[in-house]
Amino acid sequence: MTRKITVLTLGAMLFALSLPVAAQQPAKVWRIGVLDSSSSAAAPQEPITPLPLSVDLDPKRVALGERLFNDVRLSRDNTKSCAACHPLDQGGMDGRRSATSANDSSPARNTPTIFNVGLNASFNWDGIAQTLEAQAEIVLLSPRLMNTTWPELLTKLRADADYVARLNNAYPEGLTRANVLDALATFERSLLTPNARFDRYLRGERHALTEAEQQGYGLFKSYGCVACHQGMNIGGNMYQKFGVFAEARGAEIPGAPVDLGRYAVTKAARDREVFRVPSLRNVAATGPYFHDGRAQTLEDAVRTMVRVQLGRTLSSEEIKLIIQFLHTLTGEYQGRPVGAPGKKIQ
Amino acid sequence: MTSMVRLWKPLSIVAGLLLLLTYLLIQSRNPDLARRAHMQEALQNLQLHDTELTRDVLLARAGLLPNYDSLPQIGEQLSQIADALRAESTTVSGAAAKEMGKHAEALTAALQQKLTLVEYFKSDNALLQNSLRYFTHTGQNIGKQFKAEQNVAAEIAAVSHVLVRFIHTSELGAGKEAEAALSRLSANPRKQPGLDTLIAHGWLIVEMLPRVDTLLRQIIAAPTTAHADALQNAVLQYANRVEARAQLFRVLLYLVAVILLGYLFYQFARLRSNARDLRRANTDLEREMGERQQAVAALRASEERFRAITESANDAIISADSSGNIVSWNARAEAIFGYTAEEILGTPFTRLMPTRHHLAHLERFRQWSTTGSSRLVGTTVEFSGVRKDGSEFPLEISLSTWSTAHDNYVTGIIRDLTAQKQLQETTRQQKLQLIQANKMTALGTLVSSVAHEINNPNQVVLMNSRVLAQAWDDAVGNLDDYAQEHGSFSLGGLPYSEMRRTVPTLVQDVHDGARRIERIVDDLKHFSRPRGRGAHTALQLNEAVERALRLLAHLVKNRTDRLQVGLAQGLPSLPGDAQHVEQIVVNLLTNAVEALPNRKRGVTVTTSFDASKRCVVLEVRDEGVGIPPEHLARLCDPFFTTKQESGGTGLGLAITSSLVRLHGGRLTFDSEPGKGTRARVTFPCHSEEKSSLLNLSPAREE
Repeated sequence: MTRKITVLTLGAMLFALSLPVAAQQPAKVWRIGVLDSSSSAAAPQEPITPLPLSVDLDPKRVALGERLFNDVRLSRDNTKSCAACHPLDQGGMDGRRSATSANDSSPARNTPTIFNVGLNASFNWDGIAQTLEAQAEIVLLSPRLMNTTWPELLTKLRADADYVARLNNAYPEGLTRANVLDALATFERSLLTPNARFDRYLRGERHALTEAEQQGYGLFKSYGCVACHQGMNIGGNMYQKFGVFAEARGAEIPGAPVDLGRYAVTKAARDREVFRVPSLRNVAATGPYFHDGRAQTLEDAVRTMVRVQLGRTLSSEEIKLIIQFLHTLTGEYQGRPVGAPGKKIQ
Repeated sequence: MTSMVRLWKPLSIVAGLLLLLTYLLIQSRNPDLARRAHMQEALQNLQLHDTELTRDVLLARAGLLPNYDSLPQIGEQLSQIADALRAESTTVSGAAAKEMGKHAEALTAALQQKLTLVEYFKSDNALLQNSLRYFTHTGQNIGKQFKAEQNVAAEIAAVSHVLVRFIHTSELGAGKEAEAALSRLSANPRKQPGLDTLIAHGWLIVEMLPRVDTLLRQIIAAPTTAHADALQNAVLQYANRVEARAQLFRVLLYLVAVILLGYLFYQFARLRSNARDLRRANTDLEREMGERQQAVAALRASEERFRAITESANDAIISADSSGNIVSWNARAEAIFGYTAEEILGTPFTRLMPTRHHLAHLERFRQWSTTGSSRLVGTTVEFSGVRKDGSEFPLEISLSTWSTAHDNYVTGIIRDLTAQKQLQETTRQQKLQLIQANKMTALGTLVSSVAHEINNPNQVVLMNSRVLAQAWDDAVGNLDDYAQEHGSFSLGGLPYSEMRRTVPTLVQDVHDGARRIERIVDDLKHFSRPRGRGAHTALQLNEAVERALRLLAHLVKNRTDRLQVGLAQGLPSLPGDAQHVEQIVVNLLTNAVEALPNRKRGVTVTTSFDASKRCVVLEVRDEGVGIPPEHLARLCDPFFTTKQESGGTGLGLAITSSLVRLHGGRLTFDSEPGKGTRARVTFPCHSEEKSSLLNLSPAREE
């Protein structure tokens, strides 16, 4: 009996002594980082990359976000939904020249499209929000927009058994402020418009673009448009001063206050009249253009851009080619081309 | 109790040591190991992404980055890592946390600063790249437009040359030259749209190139790496401290384990020695148990023996405890007292003694139970007991005391003296009878000689008195005459007239006295005369009775009118002397009729045969005055008489009694004063036995 106990105790002690040693072993694992060499490949790469054909998101959250996106109860007076200003059947924006800005301290601005918004690096014309969730919250709480409050909104949602059930189903925590925002943002990230003809061209379909459109793309690159409108979203990943070679002002609505752009956010002198470079995807279907919607047509917009930003003068032929190229950027949402067919400018 | 303590103490020590071991084990496991690894990994990733960012910025500056998509992505990752690091360092406690938090904050700030710079860089670089592209692709061609104007073309060439140098070297001096060249070109009054564009882009390059390069230098010089290294150092220091502490606990763990082991070995050794002691004790115990078993067996045998003795004892053996309750009761006690063991055990012993003794006995018992001694112990005393049926009986009791660890006990050994007393009584009676017989024999011897001596002079007195009476009769006439003649004279001291009346009485008294002496002497002769020899014949009781009745017919007729005789027929014949039996009947009948106060009272004589006792019975009942109880026992004593004045000698019944005894019979009297007396004589009729008795009795009497 006594011998057995002694042996057991000895065993237990040896085991106990070995534990700290064993626990120390896995600490030595280091993640060896490898520099991504793809971006530094010697072969010249196109500055624009195609949209992914699909996006990996939780379908439950996407569906929940869609319902929230279309729900007027997200506004205080139950009159406006997100879709009110971002109708998905009309290019993901309201088509008005300008509307109330999410940035309360800025003047009215043109409503940007909600399509492909997840690919942007920052949000709003001045980059006031760095994440989709933050942007959505700003819109919800802004007195000039949805004008709601969290307690109010959560009370409304809690009263809806369907929301409670779906939130509980999609999130472990259920109905919370963060999850409501996450559902909205997730839905927005799902709003990609793949299969633009240009994307197909980029993917190797040489005949997806006409000769003229290809020429237009060439001009787009060689005239320097692509310096800012680059990347997968053809813009949306940087800021730029509006009016580099010439004053951009003058074509604005007379008497309207000057929009200082990003300065409103950073208060840095060099950010005066600096705006987020917008994405050119679906640009043909998302007019009017610029932060104040001053350009009603693509031609207006291209001419202004060439003059003010590029410091050049292009022939009408060249501009037409570029506009033709811009039309190839219109993608599909749920199998249909973005924007009403009648709106398409051919 | 002590064994529990003995058991719990080492157990609690071992448990305490094990608890301590567990605590030390937990402490030595370095809880921050995972955090340290995590933070170090994050820092590695941060530095990696930071390098990526710098690399991509450099590529962008060189125009080799196709687009800026990677920059915000890396920026976002860096921000996330920085946030994670900040959050991680706030979870650590103590001074290390403050240090790490400070570095994490600084790192985050530097990173944000760098990302802001990158944003600016992107904007400026986009413009620069655009202008550069313009200049390299379009700028040269502009000169061709001004081929006609040599000076303009030369200036354009100069500007291009300086700008190219500036672009390639970024030298400050080249910048100044380019500015000067551009100023000269701008000063050219000739306005050409192409020239303006060239000048605008040139100016932009001159403006932007230093800015971009400044930004580039700032980005490269951003202190993110330094802060990351500082944070890493802080993490390492913290981890080292924690590790050192864990190491200390590990050493303590080892020490405690050694102590535990030592204690266990100590306990093991103790257990071994205890086990040895235990075995020894066990052996002792077994031996002791064997002895005890033998003792128990012996005790049981002794008890059995005791029980056998007690149960078979002829005496009652009773024990009582100090409170007086009976605890032991044997078979003989049950037989004597009538109580069974079940009835009596546990009850007070006083119920075995008469109520009148209770108080005294209880007092003695109390004295014993308090002092432990009693003068009765060890002695044998006679006492009275009470049976279950309430009857009292004599007993003899000897007391002894004994003690156990629990109580004191008293044991009495009791003998029933009833039979012994009866025997003693019988013996006493027999002794008395023997004395009587001896007395009678001696008396008879004395009387026969005295009677003879008395009888002779008495005969003289008797004869002489008769002569004297005759003489007085004869002399009286003469004396009367003399008195008439001479007057009264004195005779024997008295006047004659008185004497004349008295003398005949005196003479008569002498005669009567002599007659009485004669009768007494006669009776004495009968009483003491040797009898019976040669007269052993078979006699019929009825015949003896009839003869006696005939003899006494006159007497009976004088005294009573009612004589009843009931003689049983077929009585067996008795061995003995017919004359003696006849005299027995005569004596009894005489007494009976003499007891009758008048003639109305009767006398009954009956004979019968008692088959159960094989004896012949003679009964003489009278309805006389009866005998007082105090006289009954002395009826047969010689000279005991109540009829002294009527001439009784007191020898009749004594003689009768001795005659009855001579025949082996018994004479008994029942009497009720005023109503009558019954005399009963039994004669045994076993001829051969009787004859031997008869043979013996005379011999003893002689």
